[in-house]
Amino acid sequence: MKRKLCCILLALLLLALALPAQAAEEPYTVRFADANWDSVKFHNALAGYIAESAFGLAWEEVPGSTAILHEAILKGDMDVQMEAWTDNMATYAEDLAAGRFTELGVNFDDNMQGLYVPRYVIEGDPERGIAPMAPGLKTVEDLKKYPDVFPDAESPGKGRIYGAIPGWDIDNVMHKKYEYYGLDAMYNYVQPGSEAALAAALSTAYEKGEPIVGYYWEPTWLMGLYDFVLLQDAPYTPEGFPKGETACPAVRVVVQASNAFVAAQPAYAAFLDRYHTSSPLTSEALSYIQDSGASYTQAAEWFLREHDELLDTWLTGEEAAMVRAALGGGERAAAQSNFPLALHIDTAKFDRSVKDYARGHDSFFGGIKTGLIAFVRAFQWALQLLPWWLLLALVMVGSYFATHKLTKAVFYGALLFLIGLFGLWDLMMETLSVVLAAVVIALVLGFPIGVLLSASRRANRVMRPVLDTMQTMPVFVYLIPAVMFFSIGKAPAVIATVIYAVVPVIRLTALGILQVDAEVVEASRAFGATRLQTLIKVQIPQAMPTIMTGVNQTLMMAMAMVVTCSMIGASGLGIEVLIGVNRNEIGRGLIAGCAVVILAVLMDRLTQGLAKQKPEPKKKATNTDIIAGEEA
Amino acid sequence: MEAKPKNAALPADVVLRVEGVSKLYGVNRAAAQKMLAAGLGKDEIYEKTGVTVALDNVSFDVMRNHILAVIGLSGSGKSTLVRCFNLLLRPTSGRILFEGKDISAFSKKELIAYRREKMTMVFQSFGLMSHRDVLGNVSYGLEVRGVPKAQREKKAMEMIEMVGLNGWEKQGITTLSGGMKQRVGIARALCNEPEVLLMDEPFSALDPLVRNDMQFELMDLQKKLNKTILFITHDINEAFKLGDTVAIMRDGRVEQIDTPENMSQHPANDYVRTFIDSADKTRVLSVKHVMLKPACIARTTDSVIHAIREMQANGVSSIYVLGSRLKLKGILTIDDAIRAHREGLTITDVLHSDVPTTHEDTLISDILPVAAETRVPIAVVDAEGSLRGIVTKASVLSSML
Repeated sequence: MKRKLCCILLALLLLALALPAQAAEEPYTVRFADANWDSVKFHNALAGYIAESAFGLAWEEVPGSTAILHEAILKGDMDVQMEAWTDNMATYAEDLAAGRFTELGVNFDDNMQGLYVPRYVIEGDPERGIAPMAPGLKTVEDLKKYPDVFPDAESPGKGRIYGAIPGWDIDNVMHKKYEYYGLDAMYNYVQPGSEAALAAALSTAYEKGEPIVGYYWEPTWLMGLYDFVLLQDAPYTPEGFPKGETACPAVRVVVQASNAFVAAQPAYAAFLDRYHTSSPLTSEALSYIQDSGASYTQAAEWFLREHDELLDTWLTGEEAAMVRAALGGGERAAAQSNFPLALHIDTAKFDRSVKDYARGHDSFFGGIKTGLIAFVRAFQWALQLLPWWLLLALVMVGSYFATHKLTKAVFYGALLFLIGLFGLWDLMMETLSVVLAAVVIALVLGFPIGVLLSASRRANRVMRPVLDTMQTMPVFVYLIPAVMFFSIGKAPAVIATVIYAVVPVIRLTALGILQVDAEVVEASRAFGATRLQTLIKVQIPQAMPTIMTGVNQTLMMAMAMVVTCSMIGASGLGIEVLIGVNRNEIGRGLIAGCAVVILAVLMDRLTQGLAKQKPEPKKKATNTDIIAGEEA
Repeated sequence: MEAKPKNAALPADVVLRVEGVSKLYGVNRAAAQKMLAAGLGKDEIYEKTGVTVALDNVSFDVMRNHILAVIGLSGSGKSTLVRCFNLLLRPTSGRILFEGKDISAFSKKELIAYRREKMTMVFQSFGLMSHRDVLGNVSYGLEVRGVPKAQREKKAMEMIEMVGLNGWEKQGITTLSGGMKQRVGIARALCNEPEVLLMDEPFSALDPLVRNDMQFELMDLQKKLNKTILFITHDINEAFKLGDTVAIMRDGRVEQIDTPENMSQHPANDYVRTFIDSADKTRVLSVKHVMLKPACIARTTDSVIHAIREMQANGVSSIYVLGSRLKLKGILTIDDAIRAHREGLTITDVLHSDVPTTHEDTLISDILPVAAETRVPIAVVDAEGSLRGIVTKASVLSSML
């Protein structure tokens, strides 16, 4: 046994020693920026394939947000950005003029963006049994006639237009357009918070055959897969466009590279300079991926075989021949994994069934959504009743009672005042209403579950992995499905927050009850208390300090979800943070972030202070009196 | 299988009858029970089946209005036994009859009524609810029974008064001393007017002096109330002091059950004999447990008239005289002091320096002869001869109770 182990270890050691020798001559690795949408991944794979086959380079993708990737290119930490959407990057022109990076070829410049509606909204779809909902809808201005077709569940009586991603330049333009056409009187402009959320909202509505109008762009798989119609606008003019008066221009999507990389790899840079595709070509490749389930690299090979002519325009004869030779070499083996076995799960099937489920139970989820929205609105309504000075006064009085220190009361009041000064008061109220609604729901659900867990070992065994999952599952995994079921806005935000924040109150309620002195519980039983009496009169009151810690933790975790929730369109402080991040406006993000922190600190101190206050009110004073009296 | 008769007629003075009660902990209880029946030992059974035998075929009667003291070392099963009486634990086999009724056959409702009306319990670590005040704890039993607030609080106040805690009823539990907490525990148990009081090592968590007080108070209460009390303890002196009947337990079995007198004279076996012999040795009270702070002292440098006034103020007829650093110099009696005052002598002149002294760690039993003889309190001094306190005849002799 031992000997066998030794042999294996020795073999492994030899292998480890042999490997570096094999990879002695390492080619340069091109770092492609991966802004995480599918078309850029396709272009990365395509350019990467050519880098490997014609230039002997290796390649890799480095993920990040647009703004961060741009910074990385400026600093030379990133080599190539295959899709630099020049209009969507705030400092692009400035940095280019200053020569901080190199602009290579134009990847494509025939793309469209603007407000889209599904074709069936205008023309109907007999096959799916959808009647035309807005037959006269052709232009953006026509939307005025149909606010009822696109109702906003969160704001009855108004329609909803899904805007662009907060922080993208086009978002400003779309908002101006919305005002320019006077749509603000009958529509709300809802920022979806993230591309994933916007895509989920549009595709879900499409799958359900529901009317929707929102910003989107091409080339994207979504536009390739579904039949959306771009609403017409006045012809583009450079002056009118920024004011929202005209259609959007096609954005120049260029290949951007760091100066250092261009200097180091001139031949490959020359290829990138000639690299040119088009929006239809890109959409074609993306549709192929969507249809066949091919990897991006497989799609790149397929694409080069289909469009062999492109090689001659992009590459020298010699280079093109090398690529063709590589293509002729047949299917490349799939990328080697370090793990020998692979289970091929048909995730597409799973996706479909989830979508079908969402569609099939639309009225059920619609009901939940309506309820949640009403609940949040109730909080919002209550908070709006409070004038700012009253809220300020309440916080100060509350913190005085919580801490018994006048300085702290003034300090906390000043912090809240600061949020007002930042101009974030209204956003704070919106955030607060979502957080409070989520916390109330979390407590209403979590407290009884916690009590149940304390009482039943079996329930505990079942719930434990569930709670672990809820706490550690990356939020985005259920955030986007939440959008499918509840569309964009406050409803999925509340649900995601509840899922994330309910765990501490469950855990600490159960823990608190289990930690109650066994003899005290025994005493209660011995005196003939029923289980319920013991629970209500002994266990819960004795566990109260721990339970209150759970409540406090739940509140804090709900606050931690504020920014994430904004990514699915819950407006509030989180949107400001998102805009700051997306635009790389550090100051703006920091101020909004500070407001979130202040709000969290205030709620933490207030609830903690109140929690500490609960046991033994006044008793202490009388007690010391008596002891003092005895000693005197 | 033979069905046991559920109930059985008991003699009128037998409140509780324990019939062949066993309690086993673990998964494989059936196998363990067979081994037990076959006469295998506790340790052997644990090794073979992983089952712990807490009670092994225990049978005895509890007589009405008697205190039955159950004594045993830890692990002997006495705490398990007491919890079988109110079914906080259920016997694995055997039965317990309360006034002729098999309690394990009680329905849920009957069991709750039984606990509420017939049997209450006092716990070793008090089992009090820290979120309620004294009154709230004492009235708890009546509260869960559904007695209206005014009525239950009136009753609880009576009980609080009975255990000598009046004025403390609105205090939080955490502010009380151990002795006071157990008084609350006893008041709570008595508040329900139970027929049987289960006391699970009620005084073990208290320090020896307080324990003595509480034992005395319990006897006093019993004189008034005449309850049936099942008193669990690991202290043989406590058992002999309180029990009308004493049961000695070992390894889940009852070794002997008898009156203290009979048990002392006719121990059933060596185990019982050693247990009883250990009685006096376990009397570990030492001087520091009964020591008092001296209320009344004078210094060698004080005037005689000052010493006289001091004695007068404290109502005593002698006073300890100390030098620098609290060094004990001797004792001054009132007669000598008055003589000195008349004759113009100083304190040092009339001092008796042959004072009985002892040390803090001396066992009480060792100073008994001195205490019995002496007419002045015994001075407790440390190694340097400084006064630490005094021991009066009363405090020494009362500790022997």
